[in-house]
Amino acid sequence: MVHGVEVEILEGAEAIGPTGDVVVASPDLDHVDRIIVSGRRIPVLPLSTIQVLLDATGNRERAAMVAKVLGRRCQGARFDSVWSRRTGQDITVSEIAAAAFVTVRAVLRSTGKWTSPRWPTCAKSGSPAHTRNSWPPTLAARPSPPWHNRRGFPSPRRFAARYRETLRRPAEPDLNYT
Amino acid sequence: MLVAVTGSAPAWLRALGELPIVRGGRWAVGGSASLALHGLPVDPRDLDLLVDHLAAAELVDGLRGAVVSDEARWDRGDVRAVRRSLAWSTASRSKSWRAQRL
Repeated sequence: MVHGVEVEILEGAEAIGPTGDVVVASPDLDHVDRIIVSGRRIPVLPLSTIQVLLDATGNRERAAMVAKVLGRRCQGARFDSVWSRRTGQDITVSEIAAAAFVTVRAVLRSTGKWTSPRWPTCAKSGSPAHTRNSWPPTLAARPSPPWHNRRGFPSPRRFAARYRETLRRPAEPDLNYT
Repeated sequence: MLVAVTGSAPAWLRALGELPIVRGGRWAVGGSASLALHGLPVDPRDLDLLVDHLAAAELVDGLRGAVVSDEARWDRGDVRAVRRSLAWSTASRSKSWRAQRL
């Protein structure tokens, strides 16, 4: 065959270090970019994953090239720049998702409907997490409810335990009863 | 018509477009082809596919006639795999053949 292309199919491929240890495990094939080729959505490893693999296999030149592209993409993460830069080419699904997210966030921020998530508080001590040398230090103190876990997030197990405890507790006597 | 069929796309890209359809497993393009698909200026000479067990079976089955080697426990020193199959894509030949028929 004159114009044949070698197709290498690797199952469970992992990068090995000089000592024989696994440096990079098999890439997660659930998180891939989709690029349309000949009308087919072809799964392609994301650039961040490729960069890790290139670094691990000692391909510094290409890793640097990927890092440069990734850096450029992070800088211009606005919808218009992503769209115009790739116009005429195939656009990855993750790029479209990122652009959509940034646009929706910008709209919600402008209408005042976007609120940043609160920093969790330490449920065990009842004090906010920032008093334990965590970041950021300027968030308002907010005591956690008893059904939150140590990280400050709602815990179904704790909530159920609390509910059971409430059921077991005897009713308080009605002092107004005559 | 003839030009439209053969096109100017590189052979690896045509081969990619003609890979067997994988229904059950998960797979992804890796190596230099993935860089090229992301728009980086590289010239891939082959096609590296990273697959899981199901996808490996489907791809090897789909490329049946083109598979030249199929080995378990492959180790190159810096990369190793549970299974490694090597195939020569027939995409270019079948395309040009179809073009001649048209």
